[in-house]
Amino acid sequence: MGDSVDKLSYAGMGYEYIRDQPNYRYVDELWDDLIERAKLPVVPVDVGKFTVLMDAKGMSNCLRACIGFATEIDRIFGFEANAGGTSYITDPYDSLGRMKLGSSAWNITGSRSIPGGCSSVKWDDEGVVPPDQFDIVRDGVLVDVQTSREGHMWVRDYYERNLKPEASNGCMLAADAIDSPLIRSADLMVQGDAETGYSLDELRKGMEKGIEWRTPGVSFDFQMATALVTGQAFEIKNGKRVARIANAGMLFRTSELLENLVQLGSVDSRVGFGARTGKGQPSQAAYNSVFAPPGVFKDMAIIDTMRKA
Amino acid sequence: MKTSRSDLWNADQASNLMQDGTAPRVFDEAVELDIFERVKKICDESYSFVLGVRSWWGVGQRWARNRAAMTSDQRDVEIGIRLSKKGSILGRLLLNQTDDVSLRNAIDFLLKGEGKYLHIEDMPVAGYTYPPGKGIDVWSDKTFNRAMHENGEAVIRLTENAESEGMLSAGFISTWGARQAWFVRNAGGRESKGVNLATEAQCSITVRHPQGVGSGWAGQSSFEVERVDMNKIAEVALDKCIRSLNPVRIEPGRYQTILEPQATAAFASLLLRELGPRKKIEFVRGGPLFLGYDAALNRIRNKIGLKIVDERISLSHDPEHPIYGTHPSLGVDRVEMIRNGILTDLFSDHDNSVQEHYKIGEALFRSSLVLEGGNTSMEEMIATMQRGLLVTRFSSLQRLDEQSVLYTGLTRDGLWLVEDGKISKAVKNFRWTESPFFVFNNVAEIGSSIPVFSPNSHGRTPFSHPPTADVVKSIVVPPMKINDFSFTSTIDAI
Repeated sequence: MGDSVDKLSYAGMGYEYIRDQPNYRYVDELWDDLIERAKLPVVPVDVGKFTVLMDAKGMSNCLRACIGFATEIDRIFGFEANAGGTSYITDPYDSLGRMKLGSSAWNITGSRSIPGGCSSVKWDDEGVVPPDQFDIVRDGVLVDVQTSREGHMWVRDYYERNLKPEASNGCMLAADAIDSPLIRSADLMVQGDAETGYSLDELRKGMEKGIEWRTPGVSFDFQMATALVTGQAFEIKNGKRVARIANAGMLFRTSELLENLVQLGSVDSRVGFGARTGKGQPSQAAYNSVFAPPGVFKDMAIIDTMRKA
Repeated sequence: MKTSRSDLWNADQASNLMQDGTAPRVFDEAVELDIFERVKKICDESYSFVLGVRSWWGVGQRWARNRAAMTSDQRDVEIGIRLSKKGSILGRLLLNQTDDVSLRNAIDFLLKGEGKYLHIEDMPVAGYTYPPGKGIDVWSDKTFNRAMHENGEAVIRLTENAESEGMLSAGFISTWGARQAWFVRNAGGRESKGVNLATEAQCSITVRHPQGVGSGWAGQSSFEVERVDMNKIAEVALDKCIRSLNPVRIEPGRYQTILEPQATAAFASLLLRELGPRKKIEFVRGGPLFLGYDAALNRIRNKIGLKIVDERISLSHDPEHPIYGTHPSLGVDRVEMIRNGILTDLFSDHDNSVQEHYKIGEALFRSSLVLEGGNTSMEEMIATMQRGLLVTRFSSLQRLDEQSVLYTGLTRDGLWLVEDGKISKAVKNFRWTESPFFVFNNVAEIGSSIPVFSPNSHGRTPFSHPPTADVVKSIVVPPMKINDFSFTSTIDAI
């Protein structure tokens, strides 16, 4: 596939990840970026609805939770209710194949075979060979969930009706040999058209006015239904960064984010970001990667995070 | 190669087997001493070493949708070795094998580092000014001896009422125990040793409506399993679920708010985090308790001696507190950080340069806090509230600003509107934006302090050098009525 893996996040790789790091070039890039940013004035946040450009890392952070975690079938059925929470997908029997999550431009697959992906394995921790790739979102519609041997049986009627293989998607993972396996999100890949799409710079150039998020953090609620994005935000005017914005936050519902997509970046602009997350009681850590391009969204609510009620 | 587990079944250590013939849950002193003796033989006398031998056991029972979901029995050992020569550390290594070959390989690996690594300045091995292994033994035989089937049987009992009400119960019970022994052998042959013991029991339950239109939660943790009233937890969680059904949306804004103890604990923990370690203030030179550098006195000034929260609030670490029952503290004194609203002390780490505070160690910082200040009952707080909110607990905390310690987060598992002294309706969850310094300076009423649900994550505790105790976190806090608590937006999650 040729997707690049982010230089500083987790990856399913060996020592070549360390040895092959272009460290000097990376330091130069960081330095140039800092110099450029330091030249920009800092402006107070202007609250309201704006066109927003999210870079690949921000997209990855958002999709990891609102698609990755939300589609874990045990979470949907309430097995994580006493810990991390549940999901905005409340009725899997009614939602699978029907629930429109957002724009029809969304095509997101799960996989445990992506080179460099954190969750790439030959067998999952139940001994299942995961499929090379399985559709989770197709044309904006929820078409599958992340399953185990037990979990896929709960929705076998859906699989039968849709002539899908009645098999686990191979999502079981235990943090350690001493731990009991849990369903953990596979690596996600946002599919795109290799012929079209734009790079981050090109997406920015196409914006007359808006906000750009650079490697933002995101915090979702315990049903993955709403979230707050915080971090470094830039004001965009006529396709250029003109200022850094202080104390900006982006507050949204998952449905708004997925529906308000205007344009996804190109396949070439896709980067894989790995992250470490916890689940279960007792808690277990697991790693998964999300390969996502940057994207532009319309009418996203920007707030002042420092302002109290 | 023998593993640590096979050693437990070693015929020479048959006395370690439990009466029913199963492997012991943790090592006993004889096993630990045996490992120490073998490391002494392997390690040349010109080297000093610190050896940590940690063995732990935990039984977990998880359930969801009123049915058992996972039962686990986990046990493991961690052997840590830190090798030194003439006051310089050569290296540290962690392993979970106790046979001679593995120990010898570990020492050889560390010895290869001699002359190759930068010598790290650290405490002289010959004289610890910070006593390693100091901590609090919080041990209960009842917790340690709890049988796995007791947890399984509890699931049936704890879910039956939720099932009969048509609700879905999900929960977790865990009992856990650990021994951490440490041994020091100096180059001169001087030896010292110690051991810390810890047990912990926890139970937490979430009851939800099958359509997800209501949710209630309750939980408790303690070193003593008999102090975790599981039946009461199940009852409270179900009651909160039923009372939280079909919540209505109300306008965000500033409300007078009653924080149940679990919610107060969230802010108390944030406050505790700002009280140490002292290095953060003196070296980073920032944060809410930093006052600036005094060039004339050549010292960093901080807010010790100044009022930082409401004058009714006192915050301490108190090993003699009744929650520890009759277990005595072991060389750890009561430490008061806030008395009547005034900052009296800060945590330090085991830094020689702040020796006068050396007793306030890392173990303490991670272990417990007691926040006290009043005795108003929850019923009285509700009865005297004209219009406000009652919060069960918080979730998804996210820091927004270092200097003011401003956080955002969510309410969860029970939020009610109180009007004219009565709970009137369930309300949809809010996102809030607050700081512990704002909250604890806007106090209307304070209740009596009780221990809350505050389990530590065990089994993966990084081994520290020198070894410190496994800590059983205890947070004892009151319910509080806070003025003008800021709720900034509604969220959809129930």
